[in-house]
Amino acid sequence: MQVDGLGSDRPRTPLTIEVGLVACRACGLIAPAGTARCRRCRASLHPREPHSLQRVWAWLIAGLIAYVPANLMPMMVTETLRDSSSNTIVSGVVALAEHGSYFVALVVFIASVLIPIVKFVLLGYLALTVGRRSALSLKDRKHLHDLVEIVGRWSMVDVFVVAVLAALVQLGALIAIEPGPAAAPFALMVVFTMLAANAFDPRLIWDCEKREVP
Amino acid sequence: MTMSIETPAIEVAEARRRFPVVWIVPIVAALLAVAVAAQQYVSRGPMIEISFQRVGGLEEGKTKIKYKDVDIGIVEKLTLDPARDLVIVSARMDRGMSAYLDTTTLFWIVRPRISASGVTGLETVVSGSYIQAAWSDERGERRRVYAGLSEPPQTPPGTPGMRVTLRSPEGTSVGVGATVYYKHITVGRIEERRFAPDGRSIELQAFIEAPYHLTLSPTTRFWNASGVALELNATGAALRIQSLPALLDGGIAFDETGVAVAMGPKRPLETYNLFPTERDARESLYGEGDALRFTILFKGSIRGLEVGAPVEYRGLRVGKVLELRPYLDETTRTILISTIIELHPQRIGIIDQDAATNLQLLQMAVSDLGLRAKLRSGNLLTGALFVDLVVLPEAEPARINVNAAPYPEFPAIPTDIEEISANINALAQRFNELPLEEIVVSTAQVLDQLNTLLADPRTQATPAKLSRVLDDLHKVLVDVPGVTEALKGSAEQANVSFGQLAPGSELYYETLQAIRELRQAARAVSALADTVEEKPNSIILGK
Repeated sequence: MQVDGLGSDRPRTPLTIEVGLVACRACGLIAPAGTARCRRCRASLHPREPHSLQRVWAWLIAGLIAYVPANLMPMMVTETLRDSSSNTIVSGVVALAEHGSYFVALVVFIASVLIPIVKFVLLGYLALTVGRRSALSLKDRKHLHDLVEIVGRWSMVDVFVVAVLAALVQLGALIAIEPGPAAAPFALMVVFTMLAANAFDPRLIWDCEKREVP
Repeated sequence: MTMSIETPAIEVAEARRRFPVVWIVPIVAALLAVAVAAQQYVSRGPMIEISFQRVGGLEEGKTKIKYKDVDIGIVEKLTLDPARDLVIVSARMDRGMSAYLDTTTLFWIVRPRISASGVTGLETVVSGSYIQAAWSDERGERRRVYAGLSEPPQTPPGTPGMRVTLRSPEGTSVGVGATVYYKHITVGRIEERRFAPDGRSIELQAFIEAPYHLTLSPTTRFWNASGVALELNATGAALRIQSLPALLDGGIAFDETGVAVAMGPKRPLETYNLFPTERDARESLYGEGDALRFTILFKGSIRGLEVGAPVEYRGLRVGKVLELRPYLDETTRTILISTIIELHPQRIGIIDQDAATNLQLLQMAVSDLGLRAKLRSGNLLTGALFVDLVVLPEAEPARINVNAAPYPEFPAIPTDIEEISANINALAQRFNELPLEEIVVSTAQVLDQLNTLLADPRTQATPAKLSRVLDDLHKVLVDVPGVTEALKGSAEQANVSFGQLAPGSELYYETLQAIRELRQAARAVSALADTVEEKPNSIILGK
């Protein structure tokens, strides 16, 4: 009887790869290890996505690089008769709070600051703890990954806010809103982190239970 | 425990060990970020500091710096300098402005301003204050620290023209920004007003624009053209105003004084005197260096001669009295009064530069032509005297005593009262010329005729006639009461006749009736006329 890598005493289900099989990630059909394509859905078959971790790190780093100008450059430029003010994400949140729009400020803060940072942290944690022990159980880690994938897209809220405002508030010289140069890097950052979450093969989480690698 | 499962054989996957392409993405992103940051850093322009007394209307990160309405920089920071009581504005200028930020560059804050010459800067009420820059085409040294102006400069830097300093012994009403006129055209502005270095006079710095600055020469004279100038002279009174701004703000005018002298190339002076009136300016003379001083001993009283009185030659002012100095003459043991005058030979037409030569020429004029000094009455009203240089060929021979102290002595001829007696003479002459005899004769004739008239019997009969007329009038008036009675009777009769027409009487009633019937008839006729108008054929066909 084998003991799973985490030290509990229950009998362990063998990994697909240990029994010489590979499951299709798209449709779930099992095929012998080494098969190139799934018989049913023609997706490429890999026991583990090749270089999954590398891809995760690549996208994550790109996302981080894109997040810097997204915060430093102004997200939205408001031009009124007297002056033209530009706001970065954070300064926009502060300005909204000062004006009393607490709810909007909270939404923007969560969508544009909290969620991206959380994604970076979580994806980094997941990538780092592959094959190792950590405080969270494997199941929880998988749930974290699901969370990252589902919630990640909501960061685009801020980009949409800016786009809608820029489209609606065009009153000539009185007031005009333009998207700032930070909008593009921010959108890229969201896309990169989504791709990073997508590139992470959750099956890797359980690889710490492996005893042998083919 | 292993399990075996039957599966159909399918294509075998090959081991893929390629380096993942995805790493291009972060690499490219990193490169882009670095490139953008570097480009931003490189394209940053220079940072400058401008100090102002007040920075009302400026905001960090928002206020722009403009040159000719084009943004060339932005204010980044405002800091206090309590030591010098100034506010330091740190501004980031655009790249490419480095070359223009030199010692000739000026900065000032554009705000709404109201002055006698107009209202400026109103657009900043809506768009917010900004800092305006100006520089001249000449390249000075590069500079990063500036002192901002509190007012826009009177003349933009680099304007072609010339600056001159005007000196005035006393403060004038002319202020900074006043206009400088040349032949009533605006040609410049007063830029600055300050105390002269010696602390005794006021200096004004004026800027004369091109091409008018080319008219400046050593013989140009400046005068105060502010307000109104009232002149009373032999031709009458003249009221002169330069212009409305000059009336309110003060103004300076200049012109050639008309003393055209060929003295080589005319380089304008750097400093000119400012004269209080145009007259003074035009009558002003060359620099003091050209003057010759003389002593004159006038015999007799010099009462009425004041310091500053003019020395004239044939009506042209050629000098002035500087001093009246009494001194004791040792030889004759009497107190003499010497009049010290200053003479500008150029004004008489002696145009040599050399003072000694001028003196010689004057000496020639004195001895050969008979040039003398004489006191004359300048103003009968006040009794003021002036020194008149006259040419008297028949005068006794005399010379300028060049050895006299302190100045050469100019010969004088006695003050004559000919003028006064001439006036009296003239008066007597007029009186003489009156046809008195004829007047007397005429008067006698008139009296005679009057006499004749009165002696005439017809004249004497007049009163009797008059008396008879009065009698007739009296008779007429006596009849008046009878006439009045007759009139009264007629009036009463008329009254009675009209009484019959009183309301209630038969006649009255019948008259009323007649009027009523007349009215009805008129109405009927009117209706007929209307019907005929509407339907002309009703005449024939009926209504």
